[in-house]
Amino acid sequence: MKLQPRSFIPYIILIALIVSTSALQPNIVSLDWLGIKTNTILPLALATAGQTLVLFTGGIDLSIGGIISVTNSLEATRMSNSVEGVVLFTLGMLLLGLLLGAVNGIIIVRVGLQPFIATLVTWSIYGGLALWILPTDRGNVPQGFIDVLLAHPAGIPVSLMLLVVLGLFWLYLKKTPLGKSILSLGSNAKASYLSGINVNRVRLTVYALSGFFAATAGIYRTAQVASGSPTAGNNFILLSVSAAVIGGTSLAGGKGSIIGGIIGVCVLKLIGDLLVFSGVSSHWAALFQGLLLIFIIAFVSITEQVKRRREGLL
Amino acid sequence: MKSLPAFYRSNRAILLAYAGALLIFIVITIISPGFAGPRHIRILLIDASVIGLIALGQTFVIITGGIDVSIPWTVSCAAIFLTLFTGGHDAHLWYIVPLLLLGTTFIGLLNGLGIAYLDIPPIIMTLGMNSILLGGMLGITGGRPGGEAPPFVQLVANGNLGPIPYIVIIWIVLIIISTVVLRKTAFGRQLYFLGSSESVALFSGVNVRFTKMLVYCLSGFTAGLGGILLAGRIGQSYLGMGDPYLFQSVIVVIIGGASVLGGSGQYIGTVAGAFILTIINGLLPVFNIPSSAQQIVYGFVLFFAVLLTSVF
Repeated sequence: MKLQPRSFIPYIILIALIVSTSALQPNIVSLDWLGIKTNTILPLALATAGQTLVLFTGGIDLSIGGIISVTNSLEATRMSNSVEGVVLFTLGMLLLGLLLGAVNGIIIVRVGLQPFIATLVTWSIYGGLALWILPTDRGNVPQGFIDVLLAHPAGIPVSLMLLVVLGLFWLYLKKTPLGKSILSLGSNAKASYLSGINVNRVRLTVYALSGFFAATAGIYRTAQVASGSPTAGNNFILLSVSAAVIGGTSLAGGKGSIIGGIIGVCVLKLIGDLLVFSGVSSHWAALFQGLLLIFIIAFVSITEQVKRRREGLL
Repeated sequence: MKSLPAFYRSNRAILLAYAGALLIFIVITIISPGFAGPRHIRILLIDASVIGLIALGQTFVIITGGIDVSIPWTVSCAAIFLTLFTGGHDAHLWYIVPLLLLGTTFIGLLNGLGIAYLDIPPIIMTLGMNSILLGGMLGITGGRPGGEAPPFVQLVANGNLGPIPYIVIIWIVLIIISTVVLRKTAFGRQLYFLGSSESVALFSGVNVRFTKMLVYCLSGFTAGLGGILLAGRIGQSYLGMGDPYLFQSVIVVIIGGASVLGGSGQYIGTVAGAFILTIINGLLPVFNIPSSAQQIVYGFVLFFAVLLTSVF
């Protein structure tokens, strides 16, 4: 595999951000800090993992907004207090996410709608379901559930372990036939088809996985916030795309990595922290998130245009 | 003059939309007799005008194969700034309204520049823009906006000139203008070229990037106009008042027979879509459907509209 200098950019930005954070707030960068950070990072990292897989295939998943809201709302209000209850209910939520994601895949593959319109439809429906389940922000989350997901056995936060598992999952997936076909689908769907890949099945799997990851994000958010919100997921749509793109995933498909996406999430969170630290009201957060997304994509797009022009000249 | 069957063939989707609107209207009138009263019809017409005006630019954008999801916060932006700048008085309205429209057209221009010249996918560019506007408005207002709409704007949005509401007159004028633009001008034909095939449009001499940019400007302009009138209709502004129009503006265009793939559609079809959606909105309380379920209904309506337009 060829290492491109561009794939280092997110890491360089991340290191620069950590350095400036510790310069502005001495002594803040510690193991405790890392624990708090990974707790807030994990839901978006999980959602980004799913979004990245979808972006690989040249699609987009807007419905994660609805799936996160639905699972968060259900998990925060309908879970019983017993251990078996919590475990079974949470497994049920994972299955629900997988199913809701698979519905996207079926609409895209069988009905033939484009990803953005198909997931716009399901975002609307899932988001409505979430509002139906839980009209306003509230929740009654079993304490044991929160304690387990926010624990740090031997000083290592559970969220950090889960992040590592997510990274390992990607390294494993990349080696499997499925992972290879996901990547090749994005770079050239026709060639993939001709080389015998079941394009439809791969597409469907990718959207199902994205739904699954959105459910994990919704579940972890329930523990992290100890509450539910019927609109919790809407923020994740833009942020997951931003994080994936910062991490080097191409919107045209075929390029990128989930680990890059995790780095992208860290970058987004640290920028948010720096803004708060410099006294900017959190009201403005969405403005900077939108600006950042557009700037990064514009940057990528301009460099590609320049490259194409240069190649055209040569 | 085209023969009748030919006219039917080329406008099948639009005629179906109108037939659908009429059918739904008749069925509801039978179920709930008060629905077709003159007072209620007037309210339906005004509400359809607001949706129709907001979706005007979206129609042009979708014809070129794009999408504008920054409409919700462009609408909110115009409405909130209207109440903020005028302080609820008519005194400075004469320059504030044009400035607001200029401002929202500029929002569209930024969308257009990103999409046409930087090749950013429309969904991403306008999603980002929506977020920028949301954050900007939250930041400027400190999360507590509000304020009353000036009396004159309220009059335009709710009052009558003779038997016809002012806003409906504005809408009719814009329906005529946009239909002429789409059907009779070179610019209109270029939009369809662009939507069917960008490379064909390019080779037939269309300035692809510039034309693309213009439709997003138009979408910003009509979203701004819709936002101002919406503030007048409701009588005040609040954060998130434009949010329903994300789905609604897309739905009415698709119901009106435009393909999400681009290359087809008419504003006159969107008008039928606006009627259908307004009737559906008016129907939800009749059947005791909670407002949360509205979004679910929208999702299904959009789904079936997309299916139908791909069949016909």
